[in-house]
Amino acid sequence: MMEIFTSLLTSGISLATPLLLAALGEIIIEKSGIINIALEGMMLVAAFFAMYVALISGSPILGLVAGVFSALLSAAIFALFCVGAQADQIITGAGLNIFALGLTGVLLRRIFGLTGATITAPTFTILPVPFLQKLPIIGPALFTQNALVYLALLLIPITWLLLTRTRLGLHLRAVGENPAAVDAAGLPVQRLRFAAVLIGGSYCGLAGAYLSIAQANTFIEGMTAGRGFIALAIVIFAGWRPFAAAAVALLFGVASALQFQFQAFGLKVPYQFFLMLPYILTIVVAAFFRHRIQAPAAMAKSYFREG
Amino acid sequence: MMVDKRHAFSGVREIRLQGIQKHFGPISALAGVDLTLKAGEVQALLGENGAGKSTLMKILFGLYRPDAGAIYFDHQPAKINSSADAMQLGLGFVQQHFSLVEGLTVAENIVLGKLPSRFYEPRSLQQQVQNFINTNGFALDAAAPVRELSVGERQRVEIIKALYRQANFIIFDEPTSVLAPLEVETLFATIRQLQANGKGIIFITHKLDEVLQISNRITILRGGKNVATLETSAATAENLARLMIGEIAPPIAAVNHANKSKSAVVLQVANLQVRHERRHVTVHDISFELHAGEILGVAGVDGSGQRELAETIMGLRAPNAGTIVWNFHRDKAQSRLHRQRIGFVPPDRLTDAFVPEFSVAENLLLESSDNAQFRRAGFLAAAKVKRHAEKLIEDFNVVCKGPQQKLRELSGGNQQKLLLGRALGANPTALVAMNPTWGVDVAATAAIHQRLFDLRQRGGAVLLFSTDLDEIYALCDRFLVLHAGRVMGWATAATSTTQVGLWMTGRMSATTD
Amino acid sequence: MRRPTEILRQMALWFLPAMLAFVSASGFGALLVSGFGYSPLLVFSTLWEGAFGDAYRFSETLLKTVPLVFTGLAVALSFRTGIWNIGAEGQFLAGALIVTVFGVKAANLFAPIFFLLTTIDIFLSGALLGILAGWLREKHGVSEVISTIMLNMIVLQFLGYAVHGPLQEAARTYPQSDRLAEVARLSQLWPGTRLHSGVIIAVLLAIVLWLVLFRLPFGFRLRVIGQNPHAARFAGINVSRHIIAAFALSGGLAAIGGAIEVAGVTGRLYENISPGYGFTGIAVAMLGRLHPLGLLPAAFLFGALESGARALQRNLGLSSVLAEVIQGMTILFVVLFETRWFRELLNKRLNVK
Repeated sequence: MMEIFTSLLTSGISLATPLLLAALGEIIIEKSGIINIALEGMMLVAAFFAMYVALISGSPILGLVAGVFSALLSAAIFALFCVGAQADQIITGAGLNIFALGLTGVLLRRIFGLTGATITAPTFTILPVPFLQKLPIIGPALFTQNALVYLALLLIPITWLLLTRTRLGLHLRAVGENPAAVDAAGLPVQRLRFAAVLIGGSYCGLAGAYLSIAQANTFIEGMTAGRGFIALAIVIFAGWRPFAAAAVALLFGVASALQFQFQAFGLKVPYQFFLMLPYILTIVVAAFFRHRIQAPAAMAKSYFREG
Repeated sequence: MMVDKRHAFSGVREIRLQGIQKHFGPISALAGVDLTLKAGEVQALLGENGAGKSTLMKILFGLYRPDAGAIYFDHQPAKINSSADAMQLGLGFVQQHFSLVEGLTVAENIVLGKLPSRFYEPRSLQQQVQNFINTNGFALDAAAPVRELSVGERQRVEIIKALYRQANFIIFDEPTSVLAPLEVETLFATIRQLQANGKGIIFITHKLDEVLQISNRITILRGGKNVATLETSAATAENLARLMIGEIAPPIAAVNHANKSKSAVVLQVANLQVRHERRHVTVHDISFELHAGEILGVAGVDGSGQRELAETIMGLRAPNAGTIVWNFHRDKAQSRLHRQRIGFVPPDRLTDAFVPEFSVAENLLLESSDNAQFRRAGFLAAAKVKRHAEKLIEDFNVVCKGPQQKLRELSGGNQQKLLLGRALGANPTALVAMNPTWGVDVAATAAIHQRLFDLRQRGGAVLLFSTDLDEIYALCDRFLVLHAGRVMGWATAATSTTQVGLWMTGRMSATTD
Repeated sequence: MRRPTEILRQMALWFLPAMLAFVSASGFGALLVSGFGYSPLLVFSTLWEGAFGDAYRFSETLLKTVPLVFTGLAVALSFRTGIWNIGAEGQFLAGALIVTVFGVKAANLFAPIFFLLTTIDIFLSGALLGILAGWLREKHGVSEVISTIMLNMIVLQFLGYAVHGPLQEAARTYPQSDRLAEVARLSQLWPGTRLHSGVIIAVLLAIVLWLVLFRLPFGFRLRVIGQNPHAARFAGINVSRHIIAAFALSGGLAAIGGAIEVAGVTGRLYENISPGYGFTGIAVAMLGRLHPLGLLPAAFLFGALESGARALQRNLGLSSVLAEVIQGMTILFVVLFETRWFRELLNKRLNVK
């Protein structure tokens, strides 16, 4: 029984990691008053280039760097559109998602030929942490994971510190609430938002790279499979708080791990209802607890000075 | 720009604005205004809506660029191109709409943009700011989120923000308009304290009591020009009211002030109470009757509750208590059918009344898209809509290229004539109009006023909300004066402007002081 | 009466940004393929051949156009009303699901009753999803962007459950439904091709929506709300009720599209029935400048892109998702060309000259 629980937790954490990374990135972006529904696309681009560079260089680390860099690039495009030119954030995001799906698909086929299914990229291997892995139950689950999981765990407090303990974080939170006040205080509104999109974009890069070179060890067309949208849900569910996002991501991760367990045991439970749960809960939370969770007041609104 | 502004201007004793001019399109907001501000004084800037007070202060604070004129800090010319420049020069501005970030704490709001290091620890920051607040003699919790503060407390945050940026001169733009009476007392104590510390205070208002109570010097503006500057000790409420409002020109048309009480009651408002979300300005217990064949005025300054009252009467806002009865229609005022009988001219044509991107013809259709007059077999009949628009354009002398021209391409005066045309087009029994000649040139104003007279002549009833006393005097058979949501008194064109001015500024009568 | 040349000039001006966006996006596509060592000329001629080369290919292009018209109409209607409905994808799937339920389980009903019930339920499935999002927005302040994205994923999962469970084919081999009964299938339009009568329904509904939006008082009010909801309220329009109605109509349109895809093309339901038609619908609507008739050519263009891209994959070994690259770029260019920044840039340029 204990073993089942531990293995459930282990795979739950592994499945939760990309969700968590993307959600943390989106928290930073949304805190600055920008809604980025192109998480899906940014992750996809990162997943592809991480796999590609890892494969040709033989180094998963270089792959990771490439993944983050490519996500940064797509985040920069998004920021140029939505912050620079003040284009509509929703439509730009939707456009980027489609574009990323197409681009990675075309590149995959062009570089790896017809099937592409047989790629095996060098990956981040399991890296047990000495001593800590011996802890009962959570030891193996938390500390026999790959380096990216540890990085994600570290990024939870780091993101929290960034938002609540640094000047940049203060400015980002302010700009997402009342950009006019930030402007009046003599701070550069657009540059702050640009920075938020880039930081958040690099998190998406980590998330995407995780999918291809830490989890699947390959790239499949459209492999994000809605994870970007789950991350969006997590952000709302967690009320834009990093630690809460970690908890919610874990919940969702374990829920999908449970699905595999059910299948492995041949249980005929309609697991789709499990997978539906995060979305249903998010709607419920957004509708009925919105007085407790505070969305950034200026979200999705472009800012330009009057007069 | 001067180098090292901070050192050049710290300890400034005097700021002088000279010959400031500002135009918005064809309309002149400031026609060469002078103003001198001194450290250690409270100067009141008094004037009606549109006198140019706020525009002048926005120029001083770098939010608007003047068309002409100069600003001197202790006789040295200063260029102020942005609010950042103004703050550098030691200016603070407590505006009516606070620029606070609700989700942040008081401490975070105060240091925003002034945090010296990359990292901070909230608790020690709060402690530090709390010390600053305490040493300046304020009562405020630095750790509280701004979201949970009352309006008065938020205003205090703005003041402390200015002090934290080492402001020597602080501008208050109608600071009491959002405050409850007790909060006003606290604010005045604060202002006296600031004055004692050698700060220069500019206090924009149109409330005479406050002027007499808090200021030591008063500058009065009217129509974008200086009227007078005098010591408060030499001022009385009467002469201030007279200076502020000026002499009202005789009405443009002979108003027949016949006794209208015999004609039918069109609208009956009884004991109406309206609460505005989170603001103290409400409508308190208002009752009146509007008769057929009269123009009834509601005078008052901005924020006196006119807008809330008008919206409630039009059914756009739910009253907290009291009744509104239109005698010809007992239904809720929301229904579109109803709109055929009561014309409505909302205060801001571009945001309240029109779709600027739509054509003139479409904008005329906004309230009556279900009207059988414009339909054929359920569809909108383009030809009928167009003919209606053409007729209205001609009847109301609107200058435009035709029904298909986009509304936003028309001048303000023509837009306003069109709006009045739309409201009067269906021959309504009554008309509710708010500032119908706002931002409109003289010719268009005269045309619009003539329309209101015509409606009255035909036996229609007009409820005219206006912040422009000239307009009220010229048009109304009788009018009530609103202040802070209460009826201060009833008047006719025969009532002295001094009395009306006192009412508008919150004084019941001219007897005290 | 305006002169025909004037009308033509107006139309050209109106279409110009959209055409410019598509040309720019295609240019980007050309750059991409030439980066791969293909001649852009060859790629475009292959695309053309694949989309319009012969009657069959032309019919396939039309076939790919149909679902895009429906999702495009759904998006255009909602955007016109100021609603960011990203939920066309889920509503499309809901319609596909309902037609399958009826076509597989209830086909023995008396035909007229079957048609009536099926049509109503298809429309209702999408409409209810829309109404839910509208209700959440109007009564609970939930942004429709979030709720419709969430509803998309919920419907997708539910569809997965259906084809693995209650709707799975009798043979239980694949996660797909049985074939729809003949009564539920749309009639063939063009012998020797797969073209079905759905294409006529698509064009008819586009005309109907055009009439609703631009000729009916109701649609006029929707457009007013989309432009200035505040003025709409001041003009005595019940804004909430109209918004929820627009949500319902938009959802219903997308659902009909999904049903027609199953009843006309695939004949059965499976998980990947929509390769993102709901999202491509955003591109179609934007390219068609949110005009029901304007988006017909836009959908046709994207349909041609889809079927032409098949030929790219067959003949040149390029992935057919090149179509997505161009579609995504088109959206990006259209939004870019509609920003205040771009318009000011253009004005400055034009004034300098």
